[in-house]
Amino acid sequence: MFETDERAEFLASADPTRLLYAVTHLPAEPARSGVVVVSPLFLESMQNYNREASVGRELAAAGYAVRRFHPRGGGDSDGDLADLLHDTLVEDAVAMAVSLSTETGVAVDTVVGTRLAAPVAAAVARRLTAARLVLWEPIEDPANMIKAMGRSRQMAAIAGLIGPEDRPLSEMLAADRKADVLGFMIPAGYLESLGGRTVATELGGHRVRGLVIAGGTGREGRWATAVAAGMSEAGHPTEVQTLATPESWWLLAADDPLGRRERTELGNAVVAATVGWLAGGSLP
Amino acid sequence: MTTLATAAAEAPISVPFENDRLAGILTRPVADSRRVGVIVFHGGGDFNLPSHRNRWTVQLARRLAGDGYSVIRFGYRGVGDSTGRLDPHTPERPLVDQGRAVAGYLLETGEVEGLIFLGSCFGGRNVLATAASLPEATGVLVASMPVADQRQRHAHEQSPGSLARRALGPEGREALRRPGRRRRYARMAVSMARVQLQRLAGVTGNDPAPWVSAKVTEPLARLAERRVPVRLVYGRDDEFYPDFELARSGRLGRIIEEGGFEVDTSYPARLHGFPTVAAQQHLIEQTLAFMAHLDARL
Repeated sequence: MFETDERAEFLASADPTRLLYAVTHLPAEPARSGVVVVSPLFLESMQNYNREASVGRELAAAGYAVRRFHPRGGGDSDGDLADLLHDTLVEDAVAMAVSLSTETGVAVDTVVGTRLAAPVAAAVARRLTAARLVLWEPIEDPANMIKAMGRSRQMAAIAGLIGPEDRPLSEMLAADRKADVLGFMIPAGYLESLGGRTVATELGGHRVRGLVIAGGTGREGRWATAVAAGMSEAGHPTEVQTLATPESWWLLAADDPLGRRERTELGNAVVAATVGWLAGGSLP
Repeated sequence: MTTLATAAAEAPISVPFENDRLAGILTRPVADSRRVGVIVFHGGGDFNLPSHRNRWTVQLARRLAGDGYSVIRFGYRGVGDSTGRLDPHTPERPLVDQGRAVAGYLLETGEVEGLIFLGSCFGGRNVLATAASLPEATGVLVASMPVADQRQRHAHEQSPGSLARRALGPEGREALRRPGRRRRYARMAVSMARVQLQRLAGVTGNDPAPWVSAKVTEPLARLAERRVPVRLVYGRDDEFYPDFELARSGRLGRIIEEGGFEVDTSYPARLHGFPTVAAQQHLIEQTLAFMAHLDARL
């Protein structure tokens, strides 16, 4: 294990008028290589945050330079969520990776992406010619994401957190071009910008070795394993690790102590699987 | 028209706390500085982040910086980019030392003299404890804050006999094998005994909500004594709102009256957790109105 250094700062995005909040984790010794983490969006960015902080710290302790960031329109960065597009996410991640390489002198050879950030992470891996792609419960079909968000809204309505739904989410997005999903105003333009993009199409001819971590064997876990199968079929050797959870980790209740413990254990498992695979894996 | 700050006016901060550091963002004024700091406390749980849902606190901080305030939003230990292990987020154990560490950091910049504290839910409890302990506190806004001490409530609402029956039943006997559960039963028994003694001594009187937490009444009473302006905000669908309304007709209400505190319960839906953009906007508007109120007092 290495001593590590952790630093938060604002860095220029691909649009120099917009600053991005970024956290860099560095080992005390020269880094083995670089890793950039592409976060999921909306509510899932909050649910995943502590896992990403943990993976940054653990990877730095294993000798990697890691950069996490908030994209334009998200978290503490500049910009407006309404302007979010697949391409702006890719540009921001590439800018963060390039500046990490410039700072540390090592190439970013690994991209980590979660949920709907999976196609973004794949596009970034291609742009950087990164050798490894790690996906945490990836979703590549925005229709699946809309289903997942719709279910979250229904559950929140049943729990009395929000008013009852008057229209299905897909109808709302089509008519209003945006929809408030649990306090996040989801722009239809962003979901449309994902149309037809899959991890395999975004990787194109660039070859990577992949790790897909699926949260259980339920519906969301099956979506993740389908992404892995698509990657393998397209010529990207991909390992799948399935977490032992009966329910998708996204649905574990925030306020329930049991849910919190289970989430922590799952988070630890995700981080350990990622670090173990990267530290022990060989480059293609 | 107020200019909104951007990230160019912000700096990540790292506040030493015990063996860890609390991470946050300081937004500096982009208008003439009022030399007043605002500290935003998030709610409890490991899902909450300093930027909060839909980053509404980022919008708020940048808006306030446009009005000349210095604003800090930060994460408790183990939350967001703050290091360390998550502390128990229990309303009866507010994280006052963490609040004071951040307040001390802001005061040490020399850029502010007074401090305004904002927080929701568990963050509201932390705000009260921190503000009451600092002479620099000049305003407090808390939203959707639980007012009940749940153990006290059980002690008031259950009879000692029912606790004994539960403890001696099959589930109770199983639970009592675990040290943590034994401690909980013991604490509950002590609370019940105290309640019985208070009843005998006539201490609780006719208060309809004798279970209101001392972690709410004591800091509020201190703030009332110091004439620090306080605004309490609830959504009418908040799960804590009925408790608050009941408590207002008892001792808590007297403290609110003595302090001249403001109460806003105009939001017709759930505010707690800010599950809609409308709820977030309501609290932003409430905060801006509170700031204008403080400004007018000065």
